[in-house]
Amino acid sequence: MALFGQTFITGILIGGIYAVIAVGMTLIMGVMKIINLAHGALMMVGMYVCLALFRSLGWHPYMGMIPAMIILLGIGWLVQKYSIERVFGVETILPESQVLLTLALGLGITEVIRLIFTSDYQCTYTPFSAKCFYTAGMSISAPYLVGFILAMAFVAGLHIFLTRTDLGRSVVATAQDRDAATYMGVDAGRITNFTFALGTALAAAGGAMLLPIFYTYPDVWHPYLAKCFIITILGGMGSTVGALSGGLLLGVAETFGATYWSPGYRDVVGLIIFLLVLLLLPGGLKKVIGR
Amino acid sequence: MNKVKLGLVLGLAVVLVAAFALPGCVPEAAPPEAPPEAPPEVPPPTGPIKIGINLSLTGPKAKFGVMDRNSLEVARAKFGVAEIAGRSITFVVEDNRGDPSIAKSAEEKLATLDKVDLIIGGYSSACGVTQAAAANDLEVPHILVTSSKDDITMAGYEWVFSGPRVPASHYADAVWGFVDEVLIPGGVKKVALYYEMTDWGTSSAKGLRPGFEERGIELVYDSPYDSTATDFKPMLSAVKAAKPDMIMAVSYLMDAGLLARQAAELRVNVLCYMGQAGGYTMPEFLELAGENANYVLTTANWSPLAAWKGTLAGVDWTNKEYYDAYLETYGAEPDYHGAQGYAAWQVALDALLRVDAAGKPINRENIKAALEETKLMTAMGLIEHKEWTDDMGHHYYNQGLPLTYVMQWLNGVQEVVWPLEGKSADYVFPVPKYEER
Repeated sequence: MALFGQTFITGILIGGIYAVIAVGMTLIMGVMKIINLAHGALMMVGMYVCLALFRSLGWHPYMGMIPAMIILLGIGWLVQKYSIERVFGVETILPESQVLLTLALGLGITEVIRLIFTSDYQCTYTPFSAKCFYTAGMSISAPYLVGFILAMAFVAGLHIFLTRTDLGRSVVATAQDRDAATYMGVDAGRITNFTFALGTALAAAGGAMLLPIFYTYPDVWHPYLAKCFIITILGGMGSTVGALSGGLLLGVAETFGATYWSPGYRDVVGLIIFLLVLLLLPGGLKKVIGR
Repeated sequence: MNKVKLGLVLGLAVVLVAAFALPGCVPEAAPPEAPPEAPPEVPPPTGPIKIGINLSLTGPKAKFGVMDRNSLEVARAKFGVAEIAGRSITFVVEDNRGDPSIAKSAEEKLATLDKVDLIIGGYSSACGVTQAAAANDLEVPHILVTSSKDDITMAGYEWVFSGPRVPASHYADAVWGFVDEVLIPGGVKKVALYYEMTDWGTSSAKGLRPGFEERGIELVYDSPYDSTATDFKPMLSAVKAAKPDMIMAVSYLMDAGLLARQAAELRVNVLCYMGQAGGYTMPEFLELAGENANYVLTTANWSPLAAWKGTLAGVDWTNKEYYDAYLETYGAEPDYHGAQGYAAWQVALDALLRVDAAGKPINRENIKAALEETKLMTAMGLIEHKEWTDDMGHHYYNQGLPLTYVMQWLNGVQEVVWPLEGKSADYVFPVPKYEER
């Protein structure tokens, strides 16, 4: 029973962090209807901003998260305005050229970071990283718990923002029907820029939550990008509740797979879920649970 | 007019066909009798003696590769041989980033573009596999530093030499004495084995399983894992539930650190936690695992306390001097990976000097021939490149077998605890429970 409980707790805690990384992608996909392959790389940049602040000013990644989010908000805005927007809707040789553009951006960003920080593993371990609580034969890691609480706060805050504010409603309206939103007076171009920037800042927040429990290197984002896709497909595009439930479900499924099947196949579990959802539930959990 | 045109076209076609076809109809003339050729004179090689270094100098495996390269430099400075036969010695360094495909490309570049005389390198097994194959295909002698997958030197490569490197299935050679004399009498009956899932981990696990089975130690958990995973708690929870007396882990550096920390967080209490070299011997393991590094046992292929010494290029050396020089130059302790790099240069330099002493030009063929005859005391002990078969039936080519040790992290320091005659401290077994530390 302790094994089951430990596996469940670990899955829920890591799933929460997955959710906050993925909610940015699901927002971007919902509003812009494009697959952003640079999302993981931008999360990695957020991790390096926190790392640099930790090394230079001694700021814990949780403190560095705020400046990292602000910096990534700016980077996201610039990337959207000066690169993706330029090819958005433009007829090019290849269809979906903006997807290829985001792939190129992701790879380019990775190489720039490699140039600055090298490819070495780097971490920000502090005594807090090893703190644990014990209950009923199970352990709860403090940085996992704090990461989870922060993730829940971000997702809840985002949900309130999207449903209770004019700007948030404009984002939702643009996601639902871009043309109708424009007719209703929404500046869809600005909303698109804002959404991309916000999604990028949320990815940075997720990266900052990972840093105290993990480590970073320029290619760290590859598995997280795959997880973001799985969560977005699982939760449904543009849905915060869908991203949260998708993240938690993926986290729990992966941990149960690693515990009861094999640690070597934990990623396979996610991919099986990905395929099953695509085949059996194409609208994702959003269709089942509603927004 | 049309008839004229048709005639012209036909005429042209006939001329063209004739132009292509007729030469083929002419009987071949007997080739002119060539004057008897004198054997071509091979000019003695000129320019510097180029030594290619192909290691992971950035990327996840950089800690190991950089230590290897630094140790090669320490060795070069120690023996001070700047030129042989009037040719200076230069290192041509390639960073393979720990990527097998880049490692192969780097090996090919060194062999064909840079035209090096000898290559030293290979940290990860995955890279070593591609490097060794490329070196053999391109007929350039290659001294493997670490890449320990057994199969690399079981492939029958003539151009690949593996003196400083211990085959993965022999990392645990020293462990078995420790298991027989300490762990089994101390109550170890069940073991959990987990290993990183690439060539090195799987090859090591393959060598470890029969050792446990022969001794009647039950494998209650046996699983590969992805060394780049974020958390190992699901695996460690399953290990804890299996209630092993001992953990045997094959890990790289970052996963070794995470595993030690997360095992402590989950209080996976066992009589002993044994790592199979790799990350567990690295000084950075202490930084990553913190106080949880304490009491972790690990196999190691080298110790600064080993009394190896000798003379090379007229210079006396001792194993301890290497350790001190590295510490002084780089401000960090080396582990066995570094010693393998140091020994690799000892082996290379010895071969180059022997080629020169025999009055032969220093080229790839002669270096290869000299390496086949290597019998040299090095920082890794006595190195011989031999063809031999072990008790598991593995048949090796150009392979040495350095001694192995069991070390234990005690109060933040790695101590040799086995074999007893070489110990620097007494082993702690069984280890205290995490909650009692």
